[in-house]
Amino acid sequence: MAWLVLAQTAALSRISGAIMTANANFFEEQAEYLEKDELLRWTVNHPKSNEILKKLKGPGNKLLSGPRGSGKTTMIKQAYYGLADDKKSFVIPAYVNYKKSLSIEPLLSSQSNSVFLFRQWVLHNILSGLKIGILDKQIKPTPAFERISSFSQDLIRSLEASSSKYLNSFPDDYVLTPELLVELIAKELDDNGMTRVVLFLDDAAHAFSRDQQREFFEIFRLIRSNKVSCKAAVYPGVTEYSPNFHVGHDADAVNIWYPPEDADYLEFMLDIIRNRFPRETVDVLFLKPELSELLCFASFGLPRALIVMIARLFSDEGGDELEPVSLTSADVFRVISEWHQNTMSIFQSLQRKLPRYKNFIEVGEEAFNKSISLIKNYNSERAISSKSVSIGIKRPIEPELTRILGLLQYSGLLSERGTRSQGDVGIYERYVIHYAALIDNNALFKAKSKNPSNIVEALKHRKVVEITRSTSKDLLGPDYKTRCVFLLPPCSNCGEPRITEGAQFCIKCGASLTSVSTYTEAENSPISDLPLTPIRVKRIKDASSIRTVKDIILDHEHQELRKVPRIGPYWAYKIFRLAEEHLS
Amino acid sequence: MKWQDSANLTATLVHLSDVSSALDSTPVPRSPIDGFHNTRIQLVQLATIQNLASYSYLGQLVVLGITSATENYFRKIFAAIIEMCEIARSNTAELDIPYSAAEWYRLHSVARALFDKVSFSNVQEIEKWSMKYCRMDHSRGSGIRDYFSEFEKVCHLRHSIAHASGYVVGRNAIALGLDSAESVGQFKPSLEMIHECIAICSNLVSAYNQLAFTQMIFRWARLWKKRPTWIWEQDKERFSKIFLAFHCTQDAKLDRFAGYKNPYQCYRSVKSTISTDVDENIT
Repeated sequence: MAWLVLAQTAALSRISGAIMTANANFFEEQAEYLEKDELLRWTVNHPKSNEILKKLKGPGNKLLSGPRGSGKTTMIKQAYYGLADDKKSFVIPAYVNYKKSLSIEPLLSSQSNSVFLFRQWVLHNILSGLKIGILDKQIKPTPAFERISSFSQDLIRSLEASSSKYLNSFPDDYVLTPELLVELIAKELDDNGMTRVVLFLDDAAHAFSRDQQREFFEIFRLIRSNKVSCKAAVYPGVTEYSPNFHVGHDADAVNIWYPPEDADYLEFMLDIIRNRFPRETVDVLFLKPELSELLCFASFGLPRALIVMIARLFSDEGGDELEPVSLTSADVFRVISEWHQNTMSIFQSLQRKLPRYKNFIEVGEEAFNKSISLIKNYNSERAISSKSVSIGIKRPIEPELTRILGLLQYSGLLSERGTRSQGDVGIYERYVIHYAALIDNNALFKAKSKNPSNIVEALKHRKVVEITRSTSKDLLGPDYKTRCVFLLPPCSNCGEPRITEGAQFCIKCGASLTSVSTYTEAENSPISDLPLTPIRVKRIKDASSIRTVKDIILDHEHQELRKVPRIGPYWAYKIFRLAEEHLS
Repeated sequence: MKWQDSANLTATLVHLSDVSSALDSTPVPRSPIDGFHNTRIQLVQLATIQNLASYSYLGQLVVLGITSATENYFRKIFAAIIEMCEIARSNTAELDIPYSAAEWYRLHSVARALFDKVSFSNVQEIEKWSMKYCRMDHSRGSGIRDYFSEFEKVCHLRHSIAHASGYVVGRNAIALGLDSAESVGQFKPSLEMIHECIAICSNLVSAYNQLAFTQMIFRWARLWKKRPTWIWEQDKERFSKIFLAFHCTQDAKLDRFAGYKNPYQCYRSVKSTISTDVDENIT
């Protein structure tokens, strides 16, 4: 598997205390924002990467599954560049990122042809991506393809800029269907002496609304042919497929998450530190090996987590100025705790992104904490070599908990590990809890004080069979049926509450039920909704006119943000990116 | 004891009494879409969680009811279009009308006699009448085909309910993508699926109503006025007829309704935004 890590130069700058003003990409943790050479230079492979890359480059539809920060984009881009640069292969790659889908949601929601326009936007994005792939492959697109792909670019620009240009008058000649797209691609392949096209569809299941996801996967299903294969990045637990889409039949799932219980895990993560960080950093980190190993475990298989935690160790909380560091256990536990809180905040932020699940998320947080306390209790009497890191939930699992488990997996707080039969006691579904949460809560030991060496030792020798057994009711509490209710806006006509999540009409007055655009809601949310410290939020409010996420997005060249003390180019860019992510 | 009685109890003939006594005398809604929504609202209110739990056939009946309301909408709107629009009238001029239908509709709407033997519970028939006779443009960009395509699925369910007591089999099952090994049960929809079916029909009616209204207004603005039969004194009256035939009073009551609520305001807006120059291509 390929992972993105910080450039040596960036880390060097941090160590030397230099002020970073030049290339903000050094600090970039998300692969979609990196240039090709940066991506390839800062990526490190692990033993499974070749196998996954082979699946991504080869024929057949694939769903690349993993939580946020697990390296899906990095892997997809590696596969893309692998195909684009391979002069001997006759395969054209195309990379499409659907991150901006929410921005077209308000525009489409007011149109009766919204499904049609969404479909055109999805298909023309593919065509536009394919044109770049053709050029990267250093072949020449046919004039017919040039013509239609120019239209594609204009259409995408118009829709994303909320222009009404194509809303009510869409030229028939440029209407695409999945079948037509496949035909166009086949012709382009024939004319250029190529054999296959691989479509890499990134952020597909992340950015779309539920209905858009269903529509997208219907398109995905129909595009498949012997000459075209689709590879889409999806999240575990929350992706909505169309009714006709069957995972396993229409596409195989490929899990990208590198499990921390893997035999080579620690060595792989240490390699990231060893090979990619400057010697000064490595020396400081490896001076106390138990601390660097602790960080590797706490990142729970997510390279981005390791990068961020190390970055936080080597910089102060404030602005762009970077401080030299001497590594202490307290520092390491602090960044692990921050990372745990950060991961939890991703889960909590779903209250805003999926307001109907607000109650589920509240109950879910309690259930997650309950799991940790059950595990701590279980471990209190266990030897250091037999600690439990997972919770086993007895089947059948209540639908409310199934939904919560999906949302927790999306956030990366836990990871599914299949089922385990406990004989007559029953069958248990096993979930490994995020190691940062276990470490932060010292859930492996009875004592309150944390000992890094003991934690590392326990995690190295944890046993698969050591499962903390539980049931839906244990985790959710006795009143979960009344608490796990969808938070749905009442009928705007008569005020009657909605009866179910899927109800489309008011049962009292018969009026059709509507919901506010998620994008509009997110855009107008206060900046305190962003993962920023309260001090930073206060500073921004005191020193600038910025109040909402939309204000940050519209802040030309971060001029308002730069008025705020201790916000330099790095933090201004970072806050802008947080605002962008908030909207995606 | 007779062996003939081994099958079932002996039947007795029942005569249907005077049907006129069962006909609702409530005034017919002003526009076809209002008529559709009146029925839709009643069906939504009928299909409560409690009622669905108590009466297992209710879901099927509601789906049947909403497709019937949709069919009736198209019957009425096509008749209105043919009566209002000379282009549509000339396209249907050659069609035959059964004498009984002509006799019955004589006092109401002769155009409706055209559909006396037509069923609008299949998409092909609706599209034929809309495009071929009413000359409505179903361009792909309008998205109307997507609405018809979903409605077609509901029509397959309707067919199974009306003719096979809800057993979804044969061509209906194939069209709905059901596996023959799985589709042995009766269609017993959940409240969510009932709402989905109602929404599919309702959204089709809304989308079609808006599409046809827009095209009729363009005809009024650009085509009818160039015909020798045009009477300028009837300009506003004919506009008003179009407006009233398509205007949904149910929607107009809602806060999110963004259109004009009376024909005159709409007329003024159209006059200021649409050129009345003739465009012969628009038919």
